[in-house]
Amino acid sequence: MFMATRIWLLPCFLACVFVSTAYAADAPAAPALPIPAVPLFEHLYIPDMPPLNANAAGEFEWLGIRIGAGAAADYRCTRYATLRMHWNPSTGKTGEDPVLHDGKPMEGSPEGQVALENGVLWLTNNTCPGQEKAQFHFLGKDGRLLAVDTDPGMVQYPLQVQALSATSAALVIPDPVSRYLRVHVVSVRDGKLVDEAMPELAIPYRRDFAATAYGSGNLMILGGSNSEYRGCSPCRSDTHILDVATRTWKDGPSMLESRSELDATTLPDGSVLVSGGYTRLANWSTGPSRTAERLFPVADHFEAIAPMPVGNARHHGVWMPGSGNKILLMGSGIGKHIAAYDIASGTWRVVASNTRSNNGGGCGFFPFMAGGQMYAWIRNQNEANGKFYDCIEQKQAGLVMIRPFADDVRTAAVFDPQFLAINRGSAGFLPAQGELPALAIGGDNTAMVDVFGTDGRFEPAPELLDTRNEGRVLRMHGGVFVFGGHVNPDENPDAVPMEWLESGDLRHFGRWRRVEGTPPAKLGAVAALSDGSLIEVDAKGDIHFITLDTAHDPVTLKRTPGPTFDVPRRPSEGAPILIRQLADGRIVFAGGETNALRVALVTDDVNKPQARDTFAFLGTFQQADTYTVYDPKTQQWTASASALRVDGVIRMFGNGRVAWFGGAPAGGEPPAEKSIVVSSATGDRWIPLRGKSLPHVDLTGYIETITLDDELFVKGSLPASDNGPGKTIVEWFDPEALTWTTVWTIDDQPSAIATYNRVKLCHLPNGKTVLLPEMHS
Amino acid sequence: MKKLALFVAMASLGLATVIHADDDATASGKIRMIVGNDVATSDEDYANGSNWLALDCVAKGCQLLPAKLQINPGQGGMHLLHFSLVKGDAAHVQAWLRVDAARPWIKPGPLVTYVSGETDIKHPVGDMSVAIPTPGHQAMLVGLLDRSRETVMLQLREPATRQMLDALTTCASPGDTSWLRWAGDIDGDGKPDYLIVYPRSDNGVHAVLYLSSVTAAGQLVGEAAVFDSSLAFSRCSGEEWSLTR
Repeated sequence: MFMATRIWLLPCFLACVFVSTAYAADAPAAPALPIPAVPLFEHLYIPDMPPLNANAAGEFEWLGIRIGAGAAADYRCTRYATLRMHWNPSTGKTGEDPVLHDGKPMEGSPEGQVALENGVLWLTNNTCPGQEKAQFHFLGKDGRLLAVDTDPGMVQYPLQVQALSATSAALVIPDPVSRYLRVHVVSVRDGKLVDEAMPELAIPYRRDFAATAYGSGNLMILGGSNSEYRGCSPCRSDTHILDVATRTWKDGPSMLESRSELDATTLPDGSVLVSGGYTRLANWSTGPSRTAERLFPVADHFEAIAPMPVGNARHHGVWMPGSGNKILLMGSGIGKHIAAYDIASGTWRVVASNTRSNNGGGCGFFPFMAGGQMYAWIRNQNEANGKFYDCIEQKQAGLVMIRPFADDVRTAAVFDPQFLAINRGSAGFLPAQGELPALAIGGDNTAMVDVFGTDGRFEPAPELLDTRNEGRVLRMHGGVFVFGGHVNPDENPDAVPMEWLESGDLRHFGRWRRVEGTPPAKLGAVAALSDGSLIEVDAKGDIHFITLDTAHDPVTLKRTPGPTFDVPRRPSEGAPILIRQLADGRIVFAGGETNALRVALVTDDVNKPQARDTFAFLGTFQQADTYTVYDPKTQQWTASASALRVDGVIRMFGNGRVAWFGGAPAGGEPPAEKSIVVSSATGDRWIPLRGKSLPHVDLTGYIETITLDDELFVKGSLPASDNGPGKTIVEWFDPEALTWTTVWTIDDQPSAIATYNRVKLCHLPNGKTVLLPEMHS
Repeated sequence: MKKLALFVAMASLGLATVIHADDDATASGKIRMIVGNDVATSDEDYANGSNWLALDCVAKGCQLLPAKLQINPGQGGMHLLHFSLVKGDAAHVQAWLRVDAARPWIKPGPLVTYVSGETDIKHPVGDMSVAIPTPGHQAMLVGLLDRSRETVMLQLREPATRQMLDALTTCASPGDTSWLRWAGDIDGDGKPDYLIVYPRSDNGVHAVLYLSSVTAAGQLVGEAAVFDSSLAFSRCSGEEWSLTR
């Protein structure tokens, strides 16, 4: 049994030769790879932060432990065998080899591992009474093992060990009493390991500063605070440089912003990349900062650089495999996304999202190549005690594709169904339609776009021009039209510019183009028509046709008046309107509010026998219990029968039929168990579902409904039993047989797998294939 | 013009209220018709007796039932006209008609009825219209909003003819068609006749029995009996008629 102790990883302390990454434009989807699951904790303990790179064989390597023979009476005297562990995610191969010292297996739990040019450095701390000793160790690539005693008082968790040069590293801790920074520099010198205590930095700090190498083997301390609270209340922009050779501290250039829990990474050119953390503007209440700055040693001052796509704090950088130390992947931390920074262009891009919704990916980020495609395992935190999250044991891990850095680089893979997921919340979802794939647009404050094919193919698409949450997505003008949504919930939803993606079949992505004009209102109803235009019912109940003029940039949205409802109908917050064009061209409008009270008007010719009547409408709008069908050929409206119910949720399916879930009979109270009625094919009656026509989910509980590609689904929980709460399932409705078939048992995900907002590839009994998103209602 | 008043039982107060009315139930001189009960009048043209029939409608149809009038003393020189059925209660009586030897078809028995308050109303032209399922006539009554005059008119339509009847006024509630008390064939000519009770104020009415047998040129029906009652003509606010489109 492993103790829940920290095992720091060993980033490729053997030869770090990266697998070169070759993306090809229009590359065919890689076949479904049998990427093995993350090893179970009992088999191999995968370390926490910081992340590690793969070696030439694609293996991750680190130093780990196994408890030695014989249980100790005092837990502090537990004997650990020090092991060199390795894991190849693409093959699933794992292994562990003892670290030998004078031919004997070495003992001790390695802490604070850090890779140096010619080996790995770590710390052990023996706390067994009578045997107390803290030691640094160095294992060279030549197999030579060095050790040196150090001050046990320096072993304060979490350990912060920073490589300073090819042969040296620094252990930095705030003094438990004074909070002044204490530093020991450990170096390989003349075949020996040397530990030198440096002068204190006489400024009190918490654990929210950053430390990185600077210049010729020196140490830089950046930001942080002495506040007992997280955030920036206040925090510092100061930097301090320890000149290791002269053993003196001096003030460095100030950062442009005060930051705590920031990341500082020294780049190959010696510059220091500072990103994120909490700042005065991006504080605890608002979330971490996106801003970034870079210190060029020659200029000796920080310069603002492009901000990260999304904020993050407590994050760490790891080189993108195959990038030749030119692209840095900023992962983990409290942020949800993996942001890549291209040093040459100075630009950022979100390349993956954690597979937990929030603050959950902080247990390790492991990018690797498989089948010519870059993936990453993200170890997630586990919910513990129903309240806290920790990294103990690798209970949940998610597999994600690392998106290429550039839009014009194509990559695709057929994912194992258990990993097919959006991994973002608040993404706009465009259902697959026939052969056309589904799209997930934006979400979680990103501009990311993902394509899900009905063949299981997953492919990143070009990013939106703007980040967008809860955007609305429709196929339009041969492409994809995105509007609405927001960046932050408090922002005006109409403020996010509209965009249009040129290509709809997505085998040949076009580019996103800005669309000018007045977007459909948030309350309005919009649907795609077969001619590539849209039809809209605005908040007032006026109908428009919407087209795009794509001849020039920006694309222009244009409206032309549509037909007028014979009976006024308008959308409302509680009663949205659904629109669907049928195969024969007729258009169905369901839901909304109607004002059915109309009276004919006295007109000049009202006494003429054949005079046509005109009408006025009176009174207040009330929730519609009918739907109406407009025939463009005859310009006539046909109303359905009344469903004689209010409230509830309506869905349109099966070429214009309408299902009504829940609600109450007009003038009555809603029953405890939701009732369901579906309209007949002609709309002349509503058919109540009873008995075997009812879904299996518990209709007294919460249910969600969705229609995709004209198919109707309900999601809910099976009734609870003596064995506990019922499983969550998704059922598909067969409108011919009036029966429901379970197509997805939601908790069928292996417990060790974490995904967020899964996408389920469902082959329906009627022969259709749909992609069911987990998130939508 | 004789004066007639109507006592209306005020359920909430338990009192009878005298309603002064410009009434001429026999203004056309053809048929005497009273709508309501306990009518106060100064008209001397009434006498106790059983020469009255009640137009009574229930779910299974309408009929003329034998009724009697009893005249009771009233206030201010008025006397009260109290009607009752010879047999049964008067809860479903739409109007009281005096037997008239010149019109022998006013006689007890079932009435040919196309629409009554018990009928499932069809609204072919807006919600203030009523389709009259008349064999061979395709008649309908249509309430028409006259925006310029701020009133609501009632029009009778058959395929070849439209005839504007009278004002429903904005005292009629939008969508309400209870002003049509009966449509059928009372005069036996095979054409529809109508009893319309036009609202005039909170309690006032202007009731007309239209017969197809008393028409002028170009008309579908003519007024055979008219009854009016009102209380100082308190105006209807018309607020329910605020337009949304």
